[in-house]
Amino acid sequence: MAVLAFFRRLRADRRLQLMALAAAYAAGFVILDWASYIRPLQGLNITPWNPQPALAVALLMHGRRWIWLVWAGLVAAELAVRGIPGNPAGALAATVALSLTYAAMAQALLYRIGLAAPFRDRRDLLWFTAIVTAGSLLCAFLYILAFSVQGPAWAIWGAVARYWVGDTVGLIVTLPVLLIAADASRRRALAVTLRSAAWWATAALTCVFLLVVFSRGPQDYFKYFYLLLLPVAWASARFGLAGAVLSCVFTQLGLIVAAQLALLHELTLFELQALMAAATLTALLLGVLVDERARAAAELRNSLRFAAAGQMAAALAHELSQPLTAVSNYAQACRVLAGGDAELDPRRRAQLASVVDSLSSEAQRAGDVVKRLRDFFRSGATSLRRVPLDAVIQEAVQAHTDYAHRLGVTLHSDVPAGLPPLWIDPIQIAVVLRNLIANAVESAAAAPGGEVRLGARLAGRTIVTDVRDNGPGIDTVHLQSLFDAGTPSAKAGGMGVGLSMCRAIVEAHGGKLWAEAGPGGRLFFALPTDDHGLLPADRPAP
Amino acid sequence: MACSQPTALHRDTVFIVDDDASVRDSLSLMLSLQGYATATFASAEDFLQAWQPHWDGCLIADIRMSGMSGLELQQALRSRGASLPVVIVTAHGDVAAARQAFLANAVDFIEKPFEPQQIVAAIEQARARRAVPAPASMVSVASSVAAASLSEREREVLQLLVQGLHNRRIATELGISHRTVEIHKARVLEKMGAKNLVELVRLVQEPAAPH
Repeated sequence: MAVLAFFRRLRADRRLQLMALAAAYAAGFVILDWASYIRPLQGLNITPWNPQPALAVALLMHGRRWIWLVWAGLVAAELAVRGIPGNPAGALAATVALSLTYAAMAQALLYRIGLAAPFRDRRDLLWFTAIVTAGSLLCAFLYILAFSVQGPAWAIWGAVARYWVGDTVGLIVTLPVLLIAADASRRRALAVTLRSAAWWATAALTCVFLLVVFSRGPQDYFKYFYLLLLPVAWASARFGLAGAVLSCVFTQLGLIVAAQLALLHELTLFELQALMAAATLTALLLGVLVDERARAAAELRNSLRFAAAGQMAAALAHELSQPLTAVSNYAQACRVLAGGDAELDPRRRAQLASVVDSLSSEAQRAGDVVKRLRDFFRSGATSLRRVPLDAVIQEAVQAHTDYAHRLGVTLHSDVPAGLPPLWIDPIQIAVVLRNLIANAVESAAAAPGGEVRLGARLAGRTIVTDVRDNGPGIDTVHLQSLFDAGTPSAKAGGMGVGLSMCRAIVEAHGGKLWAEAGPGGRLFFALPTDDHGLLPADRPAP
Repeated sequence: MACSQPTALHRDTVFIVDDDASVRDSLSLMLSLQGYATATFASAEDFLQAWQPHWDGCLIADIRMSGMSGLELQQALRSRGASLPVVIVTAHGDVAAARQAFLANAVDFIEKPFEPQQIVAAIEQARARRAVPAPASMVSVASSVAAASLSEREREVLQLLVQGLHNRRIATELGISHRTVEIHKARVLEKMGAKNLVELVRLVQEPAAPH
């Protein structure tokens, strides 16, 4: 009860919240320092892995005013982990210098990357690397200076280099996770990755490779280190930046644990940590690239969808204008029939009634077009039904028989009975079929004896429908640009929508649409017989 | 042949060629109730097949039809030496089509859905044109006066607009911004007294080629 009451107060009281945050930060900082306080360099407290500065920098990025807390954390950690220092003045100077450097790094990162959607592109990553490595180098110099280390130059430079490596690797591995976790839009990606079995498989692989690397003698550590890169690269490629940062943290932890168990010499661990920094940067770069690509693909899909919607709207506007023209003509006719004479003779009255009938049937026709429009824009593939494909094909063929006949083209369809029904939006697939048939008929009409053949067959877990004509066909050069949204579609009767739109519709159904070069036009589209291709949101409830 | 023809085609018949049955039927009904003699055809091919050199009046043709388009029909009639005035109607009006129609001496280019009065006005204009064969109309004089008031840049934009180029293309062609093209376009329309691009095309093309 007391705990519950505390949390209730916590939600209401802003000052209490800040105090809780301060306490959590201080505890986290001390614990991280304590956990990573391994293999200190003799005399100086320089360790090969310092994740705690990342915590400090992340906090300072959220508010400069927290600098006192960062300093207090440094002092508390010093006292808690290493006791009263032998050189109190030097230690105090070091904590002040480090607090200020962390604050400077936080400011630089805020200016270059910001807190909203960090690591959006390679530029962000480049700045992050530059700021973090320069900041840690400054920390290293200030630390050595504060303790006024005596000794030969090589020893001093060695100490600086090690401090630098320890801080850099700590920041590079830990700070991205903290920044991504703090960003609401990216946090979800971390959670999704952690829930995925594939990511845990890469983590398991990391454990196996750590065993391989460390089960042998020290001479083999560097020989096999590259193995650790494989699962990290895999996770980056599969899950983007979220996978990259999580795998790097996991590998880093594994590396430290394995090094402790293998009683590794601290010099070797420093060198391995330098490799770890390089591996982490590679993984981050890969992750950022994968995210960038995924974003570009999503944007492309979106713009294709827009283009398709635009084409659909244009086609439907064309269809709508026909009944509207008729309505306005009939209305004018009514005016003429009804106006003028005071009395309507029976012949005129009958004529008026029939015109009014035509008027209402045209209004109905316009309404049907509007309904189709609404069906289409009821986004994507949500109105899925389990429909036999042959019925949809028959309907589309029937709709084009007259048209083909007028152009002197014969239309055949050869669809075997017993094909499994498909989860499709029949209206949208009909749009695809009509478009393909209209194109094929027009292309076949170019030569005498034109023929268009439709077929469908089961191929594995898909049904492949093909539309072939004996027209001039498509050559290999134009095959690539055939589906570009910008390519003006062949003049199509009825629903004049382009191939790019057909492809968008088929892909929204988890299928594929493609053309083959050669004599005669050959277009194919495959639709899955199960619902594996669909997005989870579109998948119909069983 | 899906067509209906009055038994005696007198001098003043409105020939309607449209592949949409409702449009054909409603237009024919509306015009006949206003006192016009009409004949309807479901395709350009049907019309050409039935066509006689002595036919006179006015032809209303849709552009987008299965088979031969209205613009192709217009060209075919010209090549046969027919002087039948043509009114082009379309649900898919674009500048290139309008330009082509006016270059082939169309009386008007009307976008569907249209007001019945627009068609009637076009038919009357066709009649007037027949009565006065040389079309040195007032419009062309007025438009050339208006054209003289255009700036050089506006004239360049006008030239590209009536060729059917899109704003973005004109912007790259002239090396100016998209927005600047929009502004020039608005000014050109205003100075020329045109409500839309189709009217603009008519104003620019009409003085050409007395038939």
